[in-house]
Amino acid sequence: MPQAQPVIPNHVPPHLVRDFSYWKTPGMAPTPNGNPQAALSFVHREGPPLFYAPANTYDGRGTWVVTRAEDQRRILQNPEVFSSNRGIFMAALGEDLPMVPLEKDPPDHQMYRALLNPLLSPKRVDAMEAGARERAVRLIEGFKDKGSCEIMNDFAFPFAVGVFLQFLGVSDDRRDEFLGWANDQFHGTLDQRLNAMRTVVNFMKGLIDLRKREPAEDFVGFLLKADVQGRPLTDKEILGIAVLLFEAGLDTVAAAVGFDLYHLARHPDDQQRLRDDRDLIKPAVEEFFRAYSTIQMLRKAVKDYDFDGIMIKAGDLVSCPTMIANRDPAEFPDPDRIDLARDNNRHTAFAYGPHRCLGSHLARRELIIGLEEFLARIPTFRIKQGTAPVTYGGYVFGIENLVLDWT
Amino acid sequence: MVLIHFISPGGDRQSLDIPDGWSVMEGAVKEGIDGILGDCGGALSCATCHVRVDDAWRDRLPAATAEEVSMLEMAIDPGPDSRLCCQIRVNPALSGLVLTLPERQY
Ligand code: HEM
Ligand code: FES
Repeated sequence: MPQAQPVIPNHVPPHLVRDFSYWKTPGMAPTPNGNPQAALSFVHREGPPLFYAPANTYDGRGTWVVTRAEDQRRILQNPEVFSSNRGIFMAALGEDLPMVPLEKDPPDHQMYRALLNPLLSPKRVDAMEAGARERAVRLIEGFKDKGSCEIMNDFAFPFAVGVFLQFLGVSDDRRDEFLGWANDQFHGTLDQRLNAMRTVVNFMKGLIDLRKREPAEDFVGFLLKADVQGRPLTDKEILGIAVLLFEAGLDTVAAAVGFDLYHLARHPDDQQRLRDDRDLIKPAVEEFFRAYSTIQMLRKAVKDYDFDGIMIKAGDLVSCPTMIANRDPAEFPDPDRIDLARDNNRHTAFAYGPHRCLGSHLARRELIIGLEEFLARIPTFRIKQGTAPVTYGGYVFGIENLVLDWT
Repeated sequence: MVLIHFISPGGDRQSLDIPDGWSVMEGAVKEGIDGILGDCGGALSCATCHVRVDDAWRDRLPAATAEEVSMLEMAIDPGPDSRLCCQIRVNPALSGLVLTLPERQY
């Protein structure tokens, strides 16, 4: 993918341009022992609340960055101006494959959500709980006696992928193959990423063909039988849904598991508090979602918009980073402090507005199960001496080489 | 302004004046009523504005749309008296409406 030369559009006032990038700003490029969310909270101290970053996508395009939670809400609640249809696959693969429902705007958006909600309802998640717990336990028991493990490869990813396969109704035999794609897709070079994206699309296409030949009561079977406003879903819609779920539900969960255990490894007092009081795990998971949020909502203006006197023009990209909104001092007292029992924690780690995460019940349950089982089975753990976890920014923030030790 | 009452799961009552034309969720979030989150801002994408409507009031509210009914499945343990309060528009006829907050929103 050629990197576009950063061009600052004429309507952007020069005093609002900042040398800022989710890939390159200090703390965003891969950083040993980093804290990428904290690395960005300076924007609240230095302002301005809206600025322009000339090369702020993986392929070097410019975006506006909205820092205040309240301003993000007004952008995200205005899909008529700020469309979520940004052509993710068109830009990456030249393929016209809208992610459904993420890249659908209201009013159509609602019909897809109404269809998909039951698949990830609290009841459905309850039914998945036992399987998810069993997967977590099996993984942890597998490395427990070694006294050490690399969390992302040994636990976070296999756990997230296992639960996802369970959700899809695909047999666990394919876990390693899936893991490979997930790894390339989320952590590979650009070429590996694009290849992995193609592989995932082809896998999902195969799954759809299979279910047409051999109907079954699983996820794809459900989509094939679905009725939206009196018609079946098209193959492209089904593919857009299936691929989105892969993109939305794996890396996010794995990164959250990673950041949470990273925090607990570096803060033995917090780790001990959770060991002493299991009821604190739920609010702690919420506080970790707030303080270690990983996603930015990206929108494309389809009309000109006057943002308190600043012109956002049709065609501009607007980024609403959750990790920045969730450290906004106007909403969270002492935002850089991690308070496991934080009160009134109205964070937006799962977004805001119509595209509010469909999988939040499952994601929350996975994190709670993951931490419960890890703390119940692994004694006090720390970062293994001589190793340094590497954190990074980007489209989804993450961590790798997280080697924990409990010998 | 229309007076709306919220009963917490523990039985405490909080009463709010909400401007005519607002949704109950907007009024509750603005005043920081604990237990109403409104994570999606009223777009019917989160079900974190779940409330239970007092029996005396159930028939006096406009019926839930199909979209709201579908979204109620995303709430925790919904019952026949459940509503998503971002869909309840305040008007003078609702003065005195009594809503019970659920144990939790997620
Ligand atoms: C820790 C885990 C997760 C986090 C932090 C997270 C966060 C988010 C965020 C911020 C968005 C909005 C993106 C945007 O508007 O641009 C979103 C949307 C979405 N998420 Fe999640 N998510 C997580 C896990 C999951 C899981 C497990 C699933 C499904 C199995 C899922 C499915 C979706 C879907 C389908 C959407 C699009 C919803 C729509 O457009 O209406 N997510 N998520
Ligand atoms: S506020 Fe999200 S459904 Fe009511």
